[in-house]
Amino acid sequence: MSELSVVGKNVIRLDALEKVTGTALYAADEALGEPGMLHGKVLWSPHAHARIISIDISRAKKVPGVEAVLTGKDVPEARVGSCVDDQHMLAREKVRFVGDAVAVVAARTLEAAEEALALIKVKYEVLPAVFDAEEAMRPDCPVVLHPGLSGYKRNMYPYLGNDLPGPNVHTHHKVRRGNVEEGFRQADLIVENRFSTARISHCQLEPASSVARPNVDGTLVISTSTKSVYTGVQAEVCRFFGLPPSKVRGVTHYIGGNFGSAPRAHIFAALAAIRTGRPVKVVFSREECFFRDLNRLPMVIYLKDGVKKDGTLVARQIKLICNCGAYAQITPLVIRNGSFGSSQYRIPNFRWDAYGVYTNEPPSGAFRGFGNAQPFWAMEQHMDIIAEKLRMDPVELRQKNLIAEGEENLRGEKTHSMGAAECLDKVAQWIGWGRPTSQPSSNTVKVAKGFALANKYTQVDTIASALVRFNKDGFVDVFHGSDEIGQGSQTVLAQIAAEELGVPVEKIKVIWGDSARVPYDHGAISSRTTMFVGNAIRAACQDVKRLICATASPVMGAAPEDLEARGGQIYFRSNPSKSMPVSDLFLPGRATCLPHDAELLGQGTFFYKGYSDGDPETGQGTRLTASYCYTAHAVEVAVDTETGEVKVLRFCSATDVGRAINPKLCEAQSEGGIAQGIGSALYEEMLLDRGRVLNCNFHDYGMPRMTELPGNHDLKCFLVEANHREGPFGAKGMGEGAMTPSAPAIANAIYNATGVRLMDLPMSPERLLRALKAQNKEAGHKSGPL
Amino acid sequence: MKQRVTLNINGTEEEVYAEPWWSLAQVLREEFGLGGTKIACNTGDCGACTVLLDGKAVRSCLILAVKAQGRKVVTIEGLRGKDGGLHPLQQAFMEHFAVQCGYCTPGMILTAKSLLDENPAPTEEEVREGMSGNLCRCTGYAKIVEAVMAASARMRGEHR
Ligand code: FES
Ligand code: FES
Repeated sequence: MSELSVVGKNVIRLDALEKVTGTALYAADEALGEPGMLHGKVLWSPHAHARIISIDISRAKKVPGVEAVLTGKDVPEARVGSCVDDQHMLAREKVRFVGDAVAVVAARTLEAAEEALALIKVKYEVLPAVFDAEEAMRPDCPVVLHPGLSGYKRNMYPYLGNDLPGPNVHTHHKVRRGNVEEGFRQADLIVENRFSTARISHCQLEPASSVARPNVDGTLVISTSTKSVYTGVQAEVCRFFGLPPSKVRGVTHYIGGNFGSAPRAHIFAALAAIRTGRPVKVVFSREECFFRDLNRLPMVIYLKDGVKKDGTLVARQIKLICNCGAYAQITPLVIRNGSFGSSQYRIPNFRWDAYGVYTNEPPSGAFRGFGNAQPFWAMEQHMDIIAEKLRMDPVELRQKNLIAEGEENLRGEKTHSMGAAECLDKVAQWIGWGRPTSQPSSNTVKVAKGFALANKYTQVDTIASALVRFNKDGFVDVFHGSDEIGQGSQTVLAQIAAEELGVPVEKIKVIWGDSARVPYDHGAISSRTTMFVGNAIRAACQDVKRLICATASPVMGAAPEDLEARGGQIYFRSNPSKSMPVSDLFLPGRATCLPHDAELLGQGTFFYKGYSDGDPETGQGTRLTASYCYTAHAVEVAVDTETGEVKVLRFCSATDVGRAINPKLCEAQSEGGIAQGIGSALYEEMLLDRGRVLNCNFHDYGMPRMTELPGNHDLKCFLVEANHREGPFGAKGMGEGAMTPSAPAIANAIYNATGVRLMDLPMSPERLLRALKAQNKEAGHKSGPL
Repeated sequence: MKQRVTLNINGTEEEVYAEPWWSLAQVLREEFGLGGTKIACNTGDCGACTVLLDGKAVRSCLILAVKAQGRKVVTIEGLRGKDGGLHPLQQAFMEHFAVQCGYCTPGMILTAKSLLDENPAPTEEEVREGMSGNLCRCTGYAKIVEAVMAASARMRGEHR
């Protein structure tokens, strides 16, 4: 590849100026103080499971300023959902979790809306509820959340509805390779354990917000803080309300963090706007965000590994029971895609059964890593357990089993762009693996290191389109449909366009966030924007260059293929010292083919041909993912054995990003992932009491603060570049991989420090103390009189 | 009943009629359209709503608008450097990639301003300690701390 001039450079974020001056607009900032705007508020179920006997809205309707009070009667009769149509926008007969939506009020002031909400009288018949996924999964579980499940419509991957072992199970995903029984027979060592992960919340700082405006022509314009103008907003509102896409325009502004959350304030804003014919704004409180965000799916993981004496993995069996909460939402896909992580090792015999189970808890969904961080919590601890039992170095054990470039992985895909080995080496070296810790252990504070390796795939079955407009002043507009959720996509995409066109990045303007104005895209999901939208933009740039050459051809007296457009100039390929500015194509009165005010417009689309969902029975296929981003984390922790507190002293990550389009932005993603990783490992858990979230505020929920993270000298993020042949300039997505190995890395370090292995998340002081106590007892027994 | 409140916002004398329970954050946003003051928790736990009240960083979601009577408020929209351009903190946040989604950014910058006013040459630990009341979910804080340290150095250079 020739020298790159913009790709690989630390271009300052295009949105930085707006954000540091407080002028960046977010959905929550739309319509501030706007007269005529109605304010929507939602009444949530106080019960985890109940039948609605009656709803009396008569007093609520009389509150001055109230324009509408809507209940289950006012929503379409058909159930809706992402994967399974199992939900009414507002409950019609039953509520299934604390936080199920029961009524919506729209009023001229927030105060009036709140007053009316308090006056709605709902009579419930409380029903028995189930909160534990393993209990709910039993075929004879007395509580059945969705007796009509078998008749519900499935919107994607219908085969996930086959072979369901109980009435509350909505998803069963299988992967089969080789023969695990045979594999375990060959094994010299078998390790088997149960792990669990907690329900955690995205805690993006912008509360869920939306403004819905009915247009006089019957179009609904909806802006929202939930990402994806096409798939997240337009398609969803169309499906929920039975509207054609031409009638729904999805808009996003800057988004104040996302990490996979989908709180959908826009559904309630849309409902109220449609029923009142007036613009409606809905902003969730922080408390509401906690139970409506679609938290990270908690899993119980039964893992069994078989391995040869020399460390060769021969069999892995994994069973996952996923507590999806009251509605399936996107969890069937989270469960399916969570299986891809296991592809990093060569395992000839593999069996995966993952179950999605309904319980009366707040529904789950996607969270940075999309189902991959949870299995890694178990798998990467097992690698350390195995290494210890075999007296092998855990780095070496992993290196030995890593799949190689070109090798077929356990899903049947050909491995490509495999930077995992380098990631492992980098973090092991920086943390000083095998060398003394940065500070010695004392009697009560134990210091040790640990690491883990993980990955995150990018989904293959999506599509991106882009338009590129070359203006006569030399500026270029790039139109695409993905989102700016903070990751810096606008900057990266501008760099890709600038590189391809050979123009300075300052001349690129990126336009996104409006389904009426930008081309189709799946949005900022699955770490896909750089690769998919980047490729679409590259193609659009190539298209516009072709158009420039074709337009210049008669003017310059050369065939289009003998010309080259680069950096705002058109060159003769045979004589690059002779050129003409592209802007001359617009000059009036010249022998030009363009009218004065014309524009040069290029179009590009990117998607994978020949991908598949995989065989429904075995999960095997040749093209199931677009790419894999590998991340290794190494940590040094200090464990206070008296308080159970864990302090992360040093942290190192290495991420294989294919090619860093903007290294600082990649580093920033890595650092953010580490903080979330530490949070998920040590502090974060939505505490539930019979389905009610107890700690739904930033005071009681343990999102890490500045003082809980290692200082800047004790933090290092490496980027590894195993170029991907299909990525733009070799780049792959990397945002989610950034947190997938953190929790097992910390668990491994805690074990190395204390000899205590924690298998449940988070590794809170209480849990650690309990485990230490149990260990002491055991040690006491062992060292007792013989 | 709404009460008349006069206050100085970003150097301009302003007047507003506010309900006694309205927070300063709400009034800045809804009545003055100053959307740079963010509300992320509304319970005083995150610092996104930080403004300078008579020069000191406060959480405007916790302060009643009527209590700001006669006082000087600076929001992110009113922050300026000596030359009237960007403040060195704003500059440093841009240059050091301390901004991601940007929702915590105004509060972070104003908290840092207040911190540097009191302690122009803080250590990294002092920055972390002094700003630990401000939550950021995106950055992991490393680049924010780096930006504050860089701005502090630059501002001291300016004063010399
Ligand atoms: S919004 Fe005021 S502290 Fe969080
Ligand atoms: S940049 Fe997103 S919360 Fe700080």
